[in-house]
Amino acid sequence: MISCRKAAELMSGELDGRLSGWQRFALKTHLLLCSGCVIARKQFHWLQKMAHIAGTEPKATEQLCMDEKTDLPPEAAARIKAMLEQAPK
Amino acid sequence: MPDAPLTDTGPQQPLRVLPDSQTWVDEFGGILYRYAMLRVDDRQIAEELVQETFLAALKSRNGFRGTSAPSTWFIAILKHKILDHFRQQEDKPSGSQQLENAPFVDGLFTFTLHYRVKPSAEPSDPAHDAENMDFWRIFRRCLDSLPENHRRAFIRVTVDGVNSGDACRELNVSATNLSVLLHRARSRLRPCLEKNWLGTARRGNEDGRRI
Repeated sequence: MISCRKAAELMSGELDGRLSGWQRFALKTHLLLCSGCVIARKQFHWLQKMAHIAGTEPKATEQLCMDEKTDLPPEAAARIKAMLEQAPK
Repeated sequence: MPDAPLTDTGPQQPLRVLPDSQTWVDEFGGILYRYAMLRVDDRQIAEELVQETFLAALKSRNGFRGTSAPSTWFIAILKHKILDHFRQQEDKPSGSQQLENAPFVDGLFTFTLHYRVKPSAEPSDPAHDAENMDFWRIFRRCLDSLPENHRRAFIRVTVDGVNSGDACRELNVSATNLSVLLHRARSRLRPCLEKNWLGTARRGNEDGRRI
């Protein structure tokens, strides 16, 4: 019987479609006997869906970019503005 | 003659207008820079990518159809610039980057390899969570707590949908090590989100700020 640690590794491989038949069997068997890993697997699948939404829903994509500590440095902003003004339109 | 049906805008969606290019940097420079920084993690490269995005936008602004928000349009251009950036990187011998040992994944488990904190919170409807601004703030905080290469692997593969061959080249790791990075990222994000979101009353809160 594989460990919970190994099961978590296989669950990640499952999301990426990289499991062999034997690995799928080992994971299924573990899940029959371990309620914690059943929940963990649901959470991993949920995480995968949230990540997909973050990449495909424009509003979610922008929400994930929210970060008060990071902004375009003022020098770069000034440089890009000047360049945009000079660029042929 | 009947009106031509509007495509993909929905009945109540008014067409959006692209603002004047003089306002672009102030209005969209920040979000584009943050989007790029999450993916390249190099200030100078991120600045260059933002600059190239605005230049390309200037050339093709007649292509803006108004069916999406201007920010969405700029981000779509930036996505292409990021792909170009990684493709133009001179071909390094791929897979040369070795991974450091990561005790933090093992820290989630006891010495018998069981969970220290047993997963217990049932996840709910992803679409419902996605509408809550608090969720994305917490997701971002959990992402920020990851080591840089784990975060980038997770974002490029699971958020951006980059195929594993391209992701290996971008991150300069072998296919096996990419799997390890993804596993470690997920194994850290899962308990972070359980602790701060799934297992809390926040997510059921109907007053949560909508995005």
